[in-house]
Amino acid sequence: MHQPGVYLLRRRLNYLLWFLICLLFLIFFVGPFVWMITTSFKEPADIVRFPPRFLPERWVTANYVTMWNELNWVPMFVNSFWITGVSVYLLVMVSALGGFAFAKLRWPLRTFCFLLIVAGLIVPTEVDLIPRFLMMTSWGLTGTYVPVILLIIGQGFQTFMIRQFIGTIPDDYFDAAKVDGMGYVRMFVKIVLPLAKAGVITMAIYSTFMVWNQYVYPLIYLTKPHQFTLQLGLGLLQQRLVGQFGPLMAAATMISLPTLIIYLLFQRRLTSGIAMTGVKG
Amino acid sequence: MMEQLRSGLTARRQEMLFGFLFAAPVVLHLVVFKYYPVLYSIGLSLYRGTLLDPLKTFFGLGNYLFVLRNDYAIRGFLNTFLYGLMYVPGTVVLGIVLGLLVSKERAGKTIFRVAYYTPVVVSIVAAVQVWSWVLSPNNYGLANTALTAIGLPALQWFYHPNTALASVAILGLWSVGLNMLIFLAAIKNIPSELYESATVDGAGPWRMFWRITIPLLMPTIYFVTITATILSLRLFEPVLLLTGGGPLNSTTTVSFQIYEQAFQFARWGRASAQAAIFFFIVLGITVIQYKVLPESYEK
Repeated sequence: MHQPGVYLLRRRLNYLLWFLICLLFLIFFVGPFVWMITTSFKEPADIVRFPPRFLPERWVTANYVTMWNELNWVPMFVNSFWITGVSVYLLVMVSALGGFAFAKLRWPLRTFCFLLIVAGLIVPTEVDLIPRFLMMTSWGLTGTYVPVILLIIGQGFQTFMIRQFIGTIPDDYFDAAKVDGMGYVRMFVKIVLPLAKAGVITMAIYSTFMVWNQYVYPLIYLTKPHQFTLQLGLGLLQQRLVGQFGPLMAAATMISLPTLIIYLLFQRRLTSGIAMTGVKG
Repeated sequence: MMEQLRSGLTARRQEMLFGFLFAAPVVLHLVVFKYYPVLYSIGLSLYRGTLLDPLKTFFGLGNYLFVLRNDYAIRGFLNTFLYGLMYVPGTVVLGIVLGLLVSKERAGKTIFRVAYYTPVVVSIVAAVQVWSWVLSPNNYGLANTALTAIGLPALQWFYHPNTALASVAILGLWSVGLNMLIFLAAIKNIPSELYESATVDGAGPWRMFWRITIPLLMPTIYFVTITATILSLRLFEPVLLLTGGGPLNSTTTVSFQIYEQAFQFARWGRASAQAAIFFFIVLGITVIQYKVLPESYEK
């Protein structure tokens, strides 16, 4: 008679166990963020207190003021925003055009070119680092924004992913468009982009993080301080304020905020989009 | 009839033309900035140069011989593999565990899923900052406080040769979220009837995990293993930003040395020789993984 009761208890215990394990992992993945934010609002003496306290004794914004006055952040914000905007737009367009050509158009060398793209995924970018730099130097482009944008807009991974999305559009749409005498450029704008929207947006968000967060190429090519991006700024701050974790955490919080907000707004789209295409190969 | 044939031909031609045109940007980019540089790199590795003239004197295989005999360079290769040995199994196991946890249809699963992926969207510069603070070697560091609280000794983390590389691996595993999502999708694809009939046959959860889940996840495990291996071999930014290869060269990696030799010392030839060796190692490992793993693990 008490069978259902036992079953319910077991289910509750199961849930509790699952929840506790999930919570433990949560500490590993989110704890550092919380620690970053609370540290950024602590007074210096509060930061090195032993044993440490999670919340500030007194919430102060002094670290933000210190960090803000140390570097000229406004141009870095401007640079990060426009470089990300332009790069992501070009990257997504290049990937979507390529994805369309590989998924739906028939042309000679298609398979060969596609193999080049897939094989390119395993070439580590570090191997290209030096030749790319020497090429850009000989073209007189170091110290300009051009290499930073140019080098990131051709991405095999994004092209591959968008191709997967475009591949799911039924051929009937394209056949009907051809009968109507629609050109390929219009087909791309009117059929491919709207119907592969989910994939294009997922890749745009994914690429936004990639471009916004890039460090090495800006470091190599953006040599003048007025060209710096936020990531370079944080790297520079780290060298200037060694061990001053209050202002450093304040700056880390500041430059992570845009990506964190975009992520939280689009998380469902991003996670389901990646999960959808991630394994189909 | 003639007319139809001609318009058919031109339509076919048009499709070819636009196929080429649309694929051209990404394919040309790849050829100019990915494949050509690999050849360029191999060319450079045969020369000894200066800052302004990387191709000054022909050096043959001299750079390769130098790199292969140099303790520092060897240390870089060894550290890179050691990191891979920690990172790759770590990310596969953690990815499966997290994927399983958030695949359960239980209240709160979405919050955990979103939370576990968050570190992936944060820049490496910020992640390095945060972890150098969490893993602070002082007694007020968060991780050390936790260790001493449960009776373990405090560690020096990034500041001791024995723990530095492992600390970098922890930083790497923080971004396991992408692999979690890939495993999650694969777990969701396993037909639930398999588990139901196994339950009828009296199989416990442990048995089902080893007999159903793992075998059906095998293709995904190969995929993640291969991508994670390539990623781990490229360990660079945390080293550049945080440890500078130290302490006592315990975190110096191939990628870091390529950057260091080229951009700090203008030793283009030597750096390119390392890059070329690195390229062939990555290629070799990938080919071996593609060939060996699926055969020996099937069923």
